Amino acid sequence: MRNLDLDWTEFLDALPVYKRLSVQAREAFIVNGSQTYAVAAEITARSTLDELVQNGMYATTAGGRHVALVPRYHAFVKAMRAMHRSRIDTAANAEAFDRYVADNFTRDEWSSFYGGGYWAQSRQGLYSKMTAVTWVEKFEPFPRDPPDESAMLKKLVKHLMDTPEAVAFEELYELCSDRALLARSIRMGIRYVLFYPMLRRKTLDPVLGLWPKISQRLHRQAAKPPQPVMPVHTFCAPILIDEMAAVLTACIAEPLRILAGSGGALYAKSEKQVAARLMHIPEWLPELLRKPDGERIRQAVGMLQELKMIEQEDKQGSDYRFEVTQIGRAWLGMPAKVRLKGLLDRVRNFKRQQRGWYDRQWEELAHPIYVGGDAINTHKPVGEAFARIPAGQALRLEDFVTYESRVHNPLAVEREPRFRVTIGYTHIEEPTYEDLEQHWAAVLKQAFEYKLVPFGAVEVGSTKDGKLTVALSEVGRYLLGLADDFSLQRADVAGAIVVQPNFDIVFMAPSTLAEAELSSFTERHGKHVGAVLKITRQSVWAAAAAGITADNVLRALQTHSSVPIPANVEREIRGWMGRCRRASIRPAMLIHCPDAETASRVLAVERTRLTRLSDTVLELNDPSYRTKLVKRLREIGVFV
Amino acid sequence: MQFRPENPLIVQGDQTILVEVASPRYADARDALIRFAELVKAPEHVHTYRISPLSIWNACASGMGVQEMLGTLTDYAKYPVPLHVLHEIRDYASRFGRVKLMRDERGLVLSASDVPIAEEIARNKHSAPLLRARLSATEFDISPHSRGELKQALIRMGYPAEDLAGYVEGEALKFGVPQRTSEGLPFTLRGYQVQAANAFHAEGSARGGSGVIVLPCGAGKTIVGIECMARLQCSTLILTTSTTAIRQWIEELLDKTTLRSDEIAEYSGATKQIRPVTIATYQIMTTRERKDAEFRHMALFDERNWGLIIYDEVHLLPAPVFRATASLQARRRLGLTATLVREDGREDDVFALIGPKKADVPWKVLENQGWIATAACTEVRVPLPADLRLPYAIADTRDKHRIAAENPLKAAVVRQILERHPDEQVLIIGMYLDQLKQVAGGEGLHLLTGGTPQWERDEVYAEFRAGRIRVLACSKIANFAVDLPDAAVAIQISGTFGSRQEEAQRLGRILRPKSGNNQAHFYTVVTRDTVEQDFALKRQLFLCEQGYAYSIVDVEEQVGRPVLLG
Repeated sequence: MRNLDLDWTEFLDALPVYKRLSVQAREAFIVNGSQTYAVAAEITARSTLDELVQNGMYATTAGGRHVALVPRYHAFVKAMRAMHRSRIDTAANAEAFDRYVADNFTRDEWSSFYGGGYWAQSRQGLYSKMTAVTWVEKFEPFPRDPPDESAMLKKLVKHLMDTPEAVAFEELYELCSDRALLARSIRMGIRYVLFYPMLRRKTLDPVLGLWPKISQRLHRQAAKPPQPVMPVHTFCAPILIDEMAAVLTACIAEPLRILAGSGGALYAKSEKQVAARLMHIPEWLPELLRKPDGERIRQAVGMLQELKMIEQEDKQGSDYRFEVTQIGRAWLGMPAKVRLKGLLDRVRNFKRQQRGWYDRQWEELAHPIYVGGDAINTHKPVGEAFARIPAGQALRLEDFVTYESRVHNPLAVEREPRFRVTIGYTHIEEPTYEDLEQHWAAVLKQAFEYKLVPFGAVEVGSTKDGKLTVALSEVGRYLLGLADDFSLQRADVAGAIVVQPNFDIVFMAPSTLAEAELSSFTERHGKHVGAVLKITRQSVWAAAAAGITADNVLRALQTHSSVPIPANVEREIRGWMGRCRRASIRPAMLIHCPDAETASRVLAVERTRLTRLSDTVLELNDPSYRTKLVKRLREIGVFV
Repeated sequence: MQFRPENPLIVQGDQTILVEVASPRYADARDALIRFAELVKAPEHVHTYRISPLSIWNACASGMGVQEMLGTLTDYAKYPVPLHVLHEIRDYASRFGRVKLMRDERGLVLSASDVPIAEEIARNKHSAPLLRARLSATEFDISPHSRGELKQALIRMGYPAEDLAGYVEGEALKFGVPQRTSEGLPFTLRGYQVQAANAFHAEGSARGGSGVIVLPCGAGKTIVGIECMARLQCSTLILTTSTTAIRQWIEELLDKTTLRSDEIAEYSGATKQIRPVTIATYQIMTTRERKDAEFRHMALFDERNWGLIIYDEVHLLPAPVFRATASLQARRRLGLTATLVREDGREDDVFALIGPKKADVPWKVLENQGWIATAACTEVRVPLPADLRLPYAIADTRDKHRIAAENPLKAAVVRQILERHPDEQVLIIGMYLDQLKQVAGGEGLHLLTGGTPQWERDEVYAEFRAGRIRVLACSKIANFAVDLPDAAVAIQISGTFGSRQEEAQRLGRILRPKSGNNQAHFYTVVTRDTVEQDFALKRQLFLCEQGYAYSIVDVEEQVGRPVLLG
């Protein structure tokens, strides 16, 4: 039965009888209320059925052999069952709301609230609108509604807004002694989707309440600044720089093959080559930050393309490959800090040009949000939000974004009651304050996930109970304009890396920053601690191909190693670098002659365009001359 | 447990352990660790050990408890030890001693700790045929001939048998180890040699009497062998790698014991005598007329009632000798080696058939105590002469190696090195005879090759030991078990550089303690920018991982800056 079809006066009349029942009898009444029972078999002195019979809710049927529900409680039991089925009190989400609307309103009824828009969109819009505080706060009945009912309804709304939880129906008698008026007002409130009849799970008492999220928000405490916490694990590394370097290094060793028509996706073999070079991400990080290798590589490839460090080459037909550009080689040849600083500076100094909402630039910490017709440039406020994290302190990420979204939310400014927000590719009509809080929290989380963590601008942590924490790193302070410079070396791991005479680089403590810097000229053999990296001739040659010099390599090693670089390692690195040479490949058109004499005759025909490579092989330097040459050779009796 | 930076160990999930040498607790941690983990590599700053079932069982056999092993890891670790590593150690250790070989009035009995293990043994296709009868739910009757084979099968099943069945006493042989050598020089065993002999002997109990002693080259493994013989006072068969090594054993026995020469015999290609102490080569034991013929010299194992068999350089024990050893489990067995690592990976057979590790002394400890010399390894790079560059460029890989190895400019470098060490005894080692002849001929040096008769080799070695020959050129015959105590410099002018054993053994020739600054030099002359340099890189890695100081010089630098070779 729909709540709107219920006679609420009858419901209120039946309620005192129901309230006298024990919880077991209430449950039996709700679950099996409509059944008919054989008298002898079912009723005993202590049974719940006996309790229902004693309270007049069940009576003997005409034949006297059965008992059944008294007809006047038929509607009541249906209403109670509907409340019992509803899960609004335990899971007040869009799904529960949707089910409630579907159970209690016809399409015409609910679309009247929205004005008949596209139905799925309207339903989502309904949820957003009717579960917001403004819905009850700014509620006004239609003028054509009876004035006494309207007044009573407003009184009820106010009462429910003042109470943190749903209230028992009988408590409402204090507001209105006229039960009939009260019942009509309740029905009116249900029709306006202001109230929701629910059951208390433990006692099965029927209660009336606002949408729980509204009550929570109305009675929530003032936002408190998040408190510093002590994480048990921490991680901070410019992962993106490492991933870009891994792609470039692999690409220099062998151009990476691209799947045709895939928009830049790599062949499995190429992807594997890059993946072997990727920095290991700690297992304790949530999946949100521990992306699969394929995704990490795709992001790095995208970034490198954006920065024109790699470009797609069409070698032969559909054999597409990525090749490293001069910009890429130059970037890879820089020390890790310089590489990172170049990118950070672009983010730091970013000024958005006014363009369409679809236009995205990688330097933005967050993409702009359009509220109504105005663009809110989120780059700056996102930066300001993270800059408010006190230096040297770790905060719970959830506490931080919640606080920021409530206290420093640039979206939550007083605007026209109906406006539209565009976040990313999503448009939200008439967003509520809750929507705006929720969306600003999402924007901050996205900036954390996609910008600050990959740049190593924040130190991510995990508390004992597995909650994520966030603290600003030196890189972060620089990125957000709080410092003029930064250091990649973390004090706690300084001196924990050893370059051994057998070319192993041993990490006595994890240092992802050192890993990032050293990975461009080493092979990865482990993770975190131990012999994580190894210097090999091939890895040094790959670095040389990228334009990294022996001095660069040795400087990077000296920066991180706690012991002097072994003399044999230094000498071999210089020796390997010294053996590198660059050669070029070009297609050539060769003329093979049967003997040296023929070759001389051919050469005599066109000396300027032909070069003798051996006794019988000549090269045609100008391929466009081929047709003419063939013709001229025919004239001297040499047929091609 | 938090990060404890002062501790030296990092225990990794793959059961390797990194040990930080600079840690103040390094020495204590190393001494504790070496009892149940094998040293994998020891480059200058951080050493790597590995825990394996064999290393744990070796520790258990030496009486070390599992709690002691776990305690060592947790006490010395920088980070919390991965729980699964602790669990694995407990599991490995729990397997040791669950199967025992014992002797009682019923004969040789295999006893399992519980019925499921006994059932597993009874049903395993390798162990089942070796069981004679089931004596009870957990006991089997075993043929004495199957003792070794069964131990091999059990170790492959993961249940190393604790062999408490005892040994035959063997033919008695009375002799002593006096305080002075035959030449009247004072002689006493070093502390670590006594400890090694104690561990092997175990006061004559069944817990001792078979096992392996690991000592670095030059640490006096022969002396430990002699001490073990003296403790047991029984006839002994010694197996070693070459005739030269046989002669050196004989000399040491005559010099350090009261044994007479008529009590000691050589069993080799040249002479085949059998006396209370007989020394044979692995080569003669495995010689046969045809590929499918019997190894007739294996009969030597049964020729006498040996009380002890010594396997010198046990890591080189050939497969047929392993098979013969399987049936000799009732005799006491002593393995001597510088490393338990075998190129063929048969470490488990050494454990099953010779016995568990009884002593292992790190070479660094002996170096610090002055018992072995400090070695400096130097790679001298020589350019390829201009006239050989084109032939080298177009040669195939095999010829490339030969052209680079026989670089004629190496002779001049050898001369310079010899000038740099005018008062020290030098070994020049090469792979190619033509090159060796050229170098030896040019410098007027003695040359020993595989073709040199044994009597001549012995004479030359004797002259070298006596200091009358200062520089000796030799092919790879000098790799193993040649005692040239005063050689302080080795110059390797060609080699495959492929085998870890070959490198270790060549270096071992010069590690005997020296008078003065106790410093040895190991030079390798390689041709720059050729395949030889690539091969030398492997050698470089190996020596660095052994912990030796390694430097590289170009010949041009050597001329201008002689200090680099000094």
